[in-house]
Amino acid sequence: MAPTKRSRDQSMEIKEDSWIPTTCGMCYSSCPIRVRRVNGVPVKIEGDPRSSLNAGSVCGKGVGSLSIAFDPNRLNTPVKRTNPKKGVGIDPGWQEISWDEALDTIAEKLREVYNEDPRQLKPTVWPAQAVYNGVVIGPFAVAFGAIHNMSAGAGGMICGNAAHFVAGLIYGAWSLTCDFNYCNYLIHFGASKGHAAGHGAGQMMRGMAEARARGMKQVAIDPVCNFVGGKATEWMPIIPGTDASVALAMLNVILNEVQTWDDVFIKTRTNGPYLVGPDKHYVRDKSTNKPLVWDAVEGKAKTWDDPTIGEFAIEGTYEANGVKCVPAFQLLRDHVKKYTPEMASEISGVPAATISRIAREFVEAARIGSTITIKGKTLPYRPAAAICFRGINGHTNAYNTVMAINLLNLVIGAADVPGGAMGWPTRGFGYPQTGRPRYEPTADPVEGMMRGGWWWGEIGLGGGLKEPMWPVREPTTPEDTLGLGSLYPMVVDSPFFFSADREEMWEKAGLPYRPKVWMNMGNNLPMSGSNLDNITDVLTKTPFVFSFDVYLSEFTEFDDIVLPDASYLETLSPFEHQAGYNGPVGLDDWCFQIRQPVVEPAYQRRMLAEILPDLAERIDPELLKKYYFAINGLWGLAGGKYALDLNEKYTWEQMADRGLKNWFGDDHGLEWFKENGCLSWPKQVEEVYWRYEIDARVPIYSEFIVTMGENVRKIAEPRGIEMDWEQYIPLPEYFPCPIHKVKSPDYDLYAITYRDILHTGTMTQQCPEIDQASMMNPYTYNIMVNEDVAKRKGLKDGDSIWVESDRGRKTKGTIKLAQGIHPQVIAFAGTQGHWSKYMPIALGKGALFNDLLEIDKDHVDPVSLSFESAVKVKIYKKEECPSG
Amino acid sequence: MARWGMVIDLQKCIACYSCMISCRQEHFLPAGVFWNRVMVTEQGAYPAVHKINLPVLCNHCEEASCVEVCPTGATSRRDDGIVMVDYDKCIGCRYCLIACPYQQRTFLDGMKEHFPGQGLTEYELIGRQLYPYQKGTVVKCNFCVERVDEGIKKGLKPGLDREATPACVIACPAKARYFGDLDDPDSEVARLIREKKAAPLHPEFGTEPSVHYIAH
Repeated sequence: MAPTKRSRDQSMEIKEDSWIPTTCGMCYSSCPIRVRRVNGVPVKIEGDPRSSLNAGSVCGKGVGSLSIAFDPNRLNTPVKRTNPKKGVGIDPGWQEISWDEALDTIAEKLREVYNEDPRQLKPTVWPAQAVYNGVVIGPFAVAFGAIHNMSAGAGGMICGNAAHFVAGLIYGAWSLTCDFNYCNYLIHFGASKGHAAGHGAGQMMRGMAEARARGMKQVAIDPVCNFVGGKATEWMPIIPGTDASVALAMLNVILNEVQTWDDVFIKTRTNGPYLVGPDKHYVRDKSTNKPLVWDAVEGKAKTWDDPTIGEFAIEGTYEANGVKCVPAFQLLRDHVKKYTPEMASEISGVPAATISRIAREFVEAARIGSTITIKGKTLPYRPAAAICFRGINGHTNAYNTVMAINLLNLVIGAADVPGGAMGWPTRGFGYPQTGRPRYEPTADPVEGMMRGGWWWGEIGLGGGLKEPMWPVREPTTPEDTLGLGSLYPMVVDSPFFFSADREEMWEKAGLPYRPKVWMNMGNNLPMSGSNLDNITDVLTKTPFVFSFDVYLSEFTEFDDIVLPDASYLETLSPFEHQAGYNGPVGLDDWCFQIRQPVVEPAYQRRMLAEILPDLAERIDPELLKKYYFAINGLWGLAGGKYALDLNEKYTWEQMADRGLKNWFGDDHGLEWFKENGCLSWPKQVEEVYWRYEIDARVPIYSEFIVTMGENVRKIAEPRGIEMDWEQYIPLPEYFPCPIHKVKSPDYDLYAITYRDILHTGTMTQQCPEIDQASMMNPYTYNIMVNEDVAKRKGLKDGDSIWVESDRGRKTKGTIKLAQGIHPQVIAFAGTQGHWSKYMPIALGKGALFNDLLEIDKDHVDPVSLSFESAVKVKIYKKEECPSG
Repeated sequence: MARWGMVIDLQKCIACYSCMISCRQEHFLPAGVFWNRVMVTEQGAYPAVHKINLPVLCNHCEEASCVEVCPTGATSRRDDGIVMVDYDKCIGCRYCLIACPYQQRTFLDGMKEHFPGQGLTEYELIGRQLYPYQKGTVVKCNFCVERVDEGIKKGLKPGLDREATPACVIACPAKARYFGDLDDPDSEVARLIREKKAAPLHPEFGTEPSVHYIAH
């Protein structure tokens, strides 16, 4: 037997060899990991085997992010610019300065804004640190008075906006997946769940893979056959932005051809029986204002919650309160009749026969009427689901599309029951020893509609920044936020703070202030926002801009001062798993893990959470008290024994310890989590499959949006804000997007982006391990072009091309020919094309897609403000361009 | 004596590259050297297309051509089936590189930097001490022999106990990789080969690989 000559250098003294439990920081899923540290040097990343979330494994970008701890290109000291000229590719002439000088300069600028009008502060955060942002920067922004201006990423560019709102409305959650342990038929509409993208990535990869191996049929409706499409049982290429037509045609097939639906679900879990009058509003009981339904047994109208109702009528036409009225479900059936598979096929390019077949397979797979017994509890069994996310959300018809897709789950009763679509986590009884955090949906007493759950509930952390889902927030005059978000009740992130027409919109909205200080936490808007002309205009017009960042990224070309932030491997973040979307789906155990430093911040790097109180105090000692006050509120400490005393001072560790003990008891403070990593406890069936546990309904007919639309218009129109108000409708329609209206035959291709498994945001490309994997992948750094189309254009693999939009914007890249892409589409992976010389590994890799995008009110969804992230283009070889 | 082998479920693999990068960290591989790789391509014609994600590594063949051709005996096959390279005996002739039909061997001609031109980082420096290589020799996947051997010494079972199982297997977030004793009919790998008809790549090469794949 050959000896194993792999033994270590014997002269080396091992002073320390340990594993530190923490969480990954490369996307917002925050998967539990452990990092091996030898003699103070981090040498390996693994998934934490104690966590049910990712069961000891983590994706390549998590493992490959180890280099962030030792990258010689990290920013190590505060710097200020010496070149007053700001712009893309212009060297700021960085000069190292002390922390005191940096913070005093920033504090002075912030003090001016704080005293004058705090709404002049624009905070942007890095979405991959969403939780840390929420619990640390959130309270700062609240205390300062600029919380409504805070946004993650590029104002909805990477955000789910409509998808989050609908997930809250229907599932009481932030995000949507399927119950992969039981699902047999899953349709992905533009959603990469299961491919290290989106929420709960760690568990989703495992769950979806196991479901595939078990035989779950996966249908991917996607222009690209790469991640989801590439693994799916069936890939259905589609023209970008047309998914609503397919979903509505499927509804038509199910409701009017097959004529099968989950009767019990429609009657008791939705507003399907609610009577709707000719004015599109509910017909209501005059004394209680409760919506009326028709009791088919007694033949009379009653309030929806009348205990004497014999049978809810959901079909037919009735008369109540002297008006002709129709049950909402009947309206839905009638509404979708015009969406024939042939019509949808013409719009989407998906064959009519395929749409019809998928619809029939879907409803058949749902096994309506069947039950399953899990842990002794008999539950409806609906093993079919339709899920969606960013792909369909990146268009001007986002809200209507998301709603159309989710109606598929509602008509078959596959929502939060075994095998069906599932929001998570909507209901939780808390850690058994403390009963915290506890949250669950309730019903609105007037309309019976579901409210609450995790993100959309009244609970503190994160959720405290949101409002209860029901009743849906009223629009108010928009002058309190740069994104005009208060005018649009569905908005999570608005692009109006940086849109090309922002000045016009601010003027119309009557904003009495403009952004004066931009405080940026790791966001890279020049790469993740819209075209660079626009971003340059926005950032250069803001008088003072500063960033916390780990690299001198492209954003910093617009900064006056950059502060060296600690990376995730140097950061303490106690509530990484409070957000819910990074908790486990289905019956897997609850688990909660903190992020802790694997190494102390080197050089002069400092953790953002430690800088903020320092900064607050330099601005105004009272602001520090307000910061503590906001933390007490948002962390749920107020009134309890762990509340921060506003007259004391706390280290970040002390604050974290209080927050953790408040939830998990005296035995489970910071030290416990540092040592043990994951705190787990079993989940109960009623926490997961809660739909029939709680007597609450969700809308298949969105009456609220009729009122919402009316109220938005009442505020917008007198101010001259005109948008496509037609999209505020109670039953979803397909609306063409700007990309579908480009008539010139020269611009013959749709350009889109997709999420590559190796990349999130713009920092992953600077990690050598991830970069080497990316170069090994034929698609990651190249633009995918349909092989037949490319050949017709005389293009071959590896050619350098220009991609030019119908508005004359250009970007360049190299191409990879593929059969797995719609002939009318070209696709870019992720956000690439770095040009900062301070990120040499990332420099020049891939193509910069976002520079092609327009951003103004005509390129946003008028309902959710999701913005159009596809564009019509032509492509040609680089040497064919005179200016190339 | 066990005969160690691996099964990779191509239905599960999502090409996240965790196996490849975890392997590099486990063995402190110098930049540009891969003992695990993931090959990505597509199959079929529009619109009937499938993506193929194919993780590859040394097949630890029973009839290993690398063992046959090695002139110094540096490459040998252990009784448990793991094919090893003894760097002290390897003279860098690279006959094995040519002989391996699966192209799983790499000649180490130097230590490239993770950050080209910026010197070796503290991670790379400590890696050289913890896991030394010899310039001018040939390297390849060793089925994480250290984990297997150390694990067995501790009474653990490779493939079942994490500590005794190859790094690429425990790293896989889709749980697409299995490790175990091919000769034990009750092992997970033997069961998958039997029930899911897992098969090696290019069986026609006749080298009897120990890595089997469940088809897409």
